Amino acid sequence: MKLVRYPHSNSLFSDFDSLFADHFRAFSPLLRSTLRSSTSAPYSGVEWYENEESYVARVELPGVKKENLKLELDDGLLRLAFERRRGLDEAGSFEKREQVLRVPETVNPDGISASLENGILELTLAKADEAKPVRIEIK
Amino acid sequence: MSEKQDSCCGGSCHTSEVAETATEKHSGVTIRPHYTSRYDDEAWEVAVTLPGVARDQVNVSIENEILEVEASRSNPVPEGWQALGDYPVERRYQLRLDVGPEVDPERISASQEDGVLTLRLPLKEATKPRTIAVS
Repeated sequence: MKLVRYPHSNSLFSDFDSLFADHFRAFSPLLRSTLRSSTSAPYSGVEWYENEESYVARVELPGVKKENLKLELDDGLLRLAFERRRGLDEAGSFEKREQVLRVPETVNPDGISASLENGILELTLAKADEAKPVRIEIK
Repeated sequence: MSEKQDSCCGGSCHTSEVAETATEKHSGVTIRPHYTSRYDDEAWEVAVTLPGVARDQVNVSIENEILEVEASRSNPVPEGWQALGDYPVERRYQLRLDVGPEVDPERISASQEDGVLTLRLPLKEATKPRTIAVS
């Protein structure tokens, strides 16, 4: 089945997007016989938080399942390698992507945990003991 | 295909691609989500990216041939935590699509999985292509 991809039409300057206007209302039978598609690059945003014990990174990974995500920490870089279905393609076509997060030097490499829910990956990165604040008791 | 993107701890690593309109800094933003669409002889399908949005936080409606998707995602900073960037506490997603007169509004269906809302918009019978037998 042939797919024709179009540039994404997310304009900030119109009130709504027209799904049909350009390529449906003025359709021709030839056009109708071809499956058409519009698409855009999904956004992968990252947010960082901190408390005394750890850092937390929230990463947007919409469309990614747990079994299709691999995490690897190497030399201060956390590599997120994932696969997800390409758009609405039902033929099993997956796209491979990779995102790299630079983690703080003060993270304990053995203290990283992760959960994935509704397309949000939450990474908890424990701080190394020497990076935690030390409370000094006043005698 | 593989793409790399560096992000760093500390905050400014954020949102260069997203169509985002800030309305109330720090408290909330309204975002027009990314979507993918396609059609065949039976229906349109639209996949809307709504990361972090639970199923009960999505509302889909259609009126006067305008399909509207509204959703929200609460993103509070836990007590005792410090945000290392300027992140909105709430994201509101709004997408309005002119679907034209060909879609049957009574048969629209939706499903949501892994932060992606998938809508199926069947075409009215009258708009489907027909085969004419040659006698």
